[in-house]
Amino acid sequence: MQIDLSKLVGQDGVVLAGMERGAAARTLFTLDKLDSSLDEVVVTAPETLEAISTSFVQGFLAGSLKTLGEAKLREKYKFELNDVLKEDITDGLKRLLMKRKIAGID
Amino acid sequence: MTEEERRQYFPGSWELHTDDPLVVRSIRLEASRLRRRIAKRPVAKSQSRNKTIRRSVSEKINQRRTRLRHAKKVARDYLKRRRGARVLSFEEKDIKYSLRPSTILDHLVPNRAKKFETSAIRRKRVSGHVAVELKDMSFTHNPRETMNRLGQLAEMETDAFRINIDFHDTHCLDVGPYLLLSTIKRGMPDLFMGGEISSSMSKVMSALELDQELGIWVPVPEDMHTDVFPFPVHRRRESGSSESATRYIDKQTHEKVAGNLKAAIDNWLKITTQQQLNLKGRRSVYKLVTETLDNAERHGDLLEHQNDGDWIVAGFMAKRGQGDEEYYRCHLAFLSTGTTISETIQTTPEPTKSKLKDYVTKHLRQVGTKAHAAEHLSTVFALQDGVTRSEAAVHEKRNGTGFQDILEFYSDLAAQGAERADASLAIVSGRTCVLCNTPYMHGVRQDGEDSEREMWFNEPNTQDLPPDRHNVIELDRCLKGTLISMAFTLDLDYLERTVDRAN
Repeated sequence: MQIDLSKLVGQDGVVLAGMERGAAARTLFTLDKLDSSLDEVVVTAPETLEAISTSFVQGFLAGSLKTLGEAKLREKYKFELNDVLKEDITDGLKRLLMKRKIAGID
Repeated sequence: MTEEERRQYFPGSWELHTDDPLVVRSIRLEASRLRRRIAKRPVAKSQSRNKTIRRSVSEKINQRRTRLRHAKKVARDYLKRRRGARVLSFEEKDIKYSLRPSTILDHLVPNRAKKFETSAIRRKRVSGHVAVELKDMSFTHNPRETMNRLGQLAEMETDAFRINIDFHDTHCLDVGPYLLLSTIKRGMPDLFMGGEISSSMSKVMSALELDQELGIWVPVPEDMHTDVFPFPVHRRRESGSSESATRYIDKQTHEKVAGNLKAAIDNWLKITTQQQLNLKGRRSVYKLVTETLDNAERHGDLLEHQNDGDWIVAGFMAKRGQGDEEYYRCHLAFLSTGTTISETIQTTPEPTKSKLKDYVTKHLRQVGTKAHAAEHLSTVFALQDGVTRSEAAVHEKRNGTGFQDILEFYSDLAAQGAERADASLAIVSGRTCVLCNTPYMHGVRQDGEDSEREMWFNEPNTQDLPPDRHNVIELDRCLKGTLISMAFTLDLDYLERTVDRAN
């Protein structure tokens, strides 16, 4: 199974951003369904893409992280992206895993 | 600024429309008040003492009727005089003095609609141009006065026939006030007629296309592009106007704007230093713009158009100084209208709501005035990592990191607050202005890598103490929305680290 982010940004997009956009992409690529399947999911992006904002990653992967946990998520979703985009995914996941004492959640 | 530097702009004129329904209505209202005032006027004491004792009932009725007739006549004459009077008769430009819907103006000018009802009366009393002086206009360094001057200008909407704006700053100190001014102008009749402006301000206005936004014409010097490098005004469509069913799947305007800003910065650097931003620099710019505008769209107009707020953005880089003392000053501002940060955060669910209440209660008497302290403290609380209004986000432990991301990118671009950068970022929302400058440039993780970035604007960076009064400032007027405006001197060391040589 492959998720191609060029469906969102086109072949010449340079940045992918937005919380609601991430959530909408989650619906578009049926991530809820994929989370419960056994298939491996490969995520790709166009070569022009230079940044994915943490807000997008949070909207896109929050549901999967909640369902699978970090280890299983990384096992299931293979991010075939360049190093900086992988860094963006990691930063987004860090935001999701961040302690939230000020907000009283943790 | 010398007199030679100042230039006249936009000499124009217009005709007053006394057929305008609002003008007629306010004149009628005044006539009606006049009639009632005369009718109620008591009979003079000397008359009453001598005559009323012996007066019959019919005489009293007659006297009352005469008084009413007289009051009606006076009111009718007043009405004729006012409606018939062509107070001004200019050519070329027509002005409709009608009340335009404007959330910003409604909150900037208390009782705006009521004042408008009788505005024709006040306009009549003011002859000629009303001059408004805009001086030291900078939210990043002088927020209170800046907001007051814009507020005074907004009040002229109901008082003046025409307004002359004198831009008295030699250089543009901050682009934020002018974005707000352009939004104010959109809600006002076309009152701006002319005024004075320096050649440097003229360059910025023209290069950023703010002259078009303000409906004015400014003289453009020939050397405009040698020391001002613009990122012209970009504006999202009006809030609530999104119709596409796939609006989050479609390409986003804020992503396009981020690309445009990066292209503009590359252009600035190419001209000035023969360099271009490298990947790290480009990513900082992309993320700063998209996170800010995404925040504006999601929270900008919470009450009427959730997740569909509008925004306006503009910026520029200017070369200042000469020879060895040459430096580059960067300005960037984002404005969204509709909802303030403190209003947004009031909708946060539990347990965040209780945490917010605890923080506000603890410092209520130590920030600003009693009437607005809660607003200031709520705004500071909302800037902390992990604080979000969204119930779904709280449930999924996501969101609430946008502000700190914005501040981190700003801090990176502004050399982490080094003195030479003279960096300042103002967050203006409601009656609160939060200044992020040295030593409070961005949030700090205080409890390990997986902890939140905290920014409490006090030296120990703790929520147990109130924020510094120099960084959390109370404004005398309310901005119904949020303005993020920043100014900093571009750090050449940072450039060395982050640029690719053009070759």
